Amino acid sequence: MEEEELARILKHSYSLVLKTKLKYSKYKNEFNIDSRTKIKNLGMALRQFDNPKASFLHFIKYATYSLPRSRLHIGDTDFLTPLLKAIQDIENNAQPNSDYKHEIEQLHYLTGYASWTMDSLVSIFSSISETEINDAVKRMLKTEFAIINEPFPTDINDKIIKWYNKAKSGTRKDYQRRR
Amino acid sequence: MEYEKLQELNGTSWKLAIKTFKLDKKGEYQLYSNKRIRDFSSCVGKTNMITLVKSIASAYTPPQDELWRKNTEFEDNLLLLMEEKSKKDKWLNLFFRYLLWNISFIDVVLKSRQNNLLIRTLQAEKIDVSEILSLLNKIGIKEVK
Repeated sequence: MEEEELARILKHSYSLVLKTKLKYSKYKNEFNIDSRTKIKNLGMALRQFDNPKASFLHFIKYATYSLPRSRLHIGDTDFLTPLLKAIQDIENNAQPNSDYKHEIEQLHYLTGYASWTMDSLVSIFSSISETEINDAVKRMLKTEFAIINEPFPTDINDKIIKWYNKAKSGTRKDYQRRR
Repeated sequence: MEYEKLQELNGTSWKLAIKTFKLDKKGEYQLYSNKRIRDFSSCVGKTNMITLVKSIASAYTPPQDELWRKNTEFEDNLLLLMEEKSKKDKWLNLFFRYLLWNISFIDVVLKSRQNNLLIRTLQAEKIDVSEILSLLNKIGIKEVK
């Protein structure tokens, strides 16, 4: 896999993660992501067929099935749109007459990276103090992007912090409303 | 399964999924019973598959004033397809899975008015978007343009 491809996949994986619903439990002081298992299971769809191009199509089918069912959730947790954008990007960069083996490999990386990122962020948010979170996220992004010779992704960093703050303040508002 | 065969199966499942949507007297769409579709799919692989499917379809008789509920067009189309593919259990099993996925997806997309998501998905699956949209319009669902 080329560095350039890895960079694209890594960025797409963050777009996917940031569209999921991050939840904070004040009682347990713990964070969680609703669709974590759904995204983790997406990779299984790639093993359905021996033919890579058929697997690619089946992956899209499975992804639409994994879409949050509730119409109340579709707007703010629409992870299908960034996923379809990633799929389109992978196809646009495919070699002419590709047998789709390489494209399948990229989808494996995409779902794998998204799963690891979700686990890492949930772990960071749940295990360290609020003042250390910004530094920990920065360190993680800096390491990941430096390995593939990419500049520090300020936009992704800002979105992660916003995502975190939204989950935390959402819980505060819910708590105040209940009282 | 080869890609071209899966692509054909998927296209058929989209077209039939749309036929499970029907407008009621108020002009709101109603879905064909998911349970009955599952009942049809459970007949796949049985020696008397077609007879069983016919009996499930005919067993449903809505009251006179609710006759619009009887979606014979979908049932007839499904029956024809099952007859044509009667020796292809694997094909039919996958077809039913895709059919149910498509129905559920169209339903969520229509309810949430996320038309662009439907179009983007059809494009990703290499399905003729204009054909699917015209089928939706044909049964009276005008929300998707």
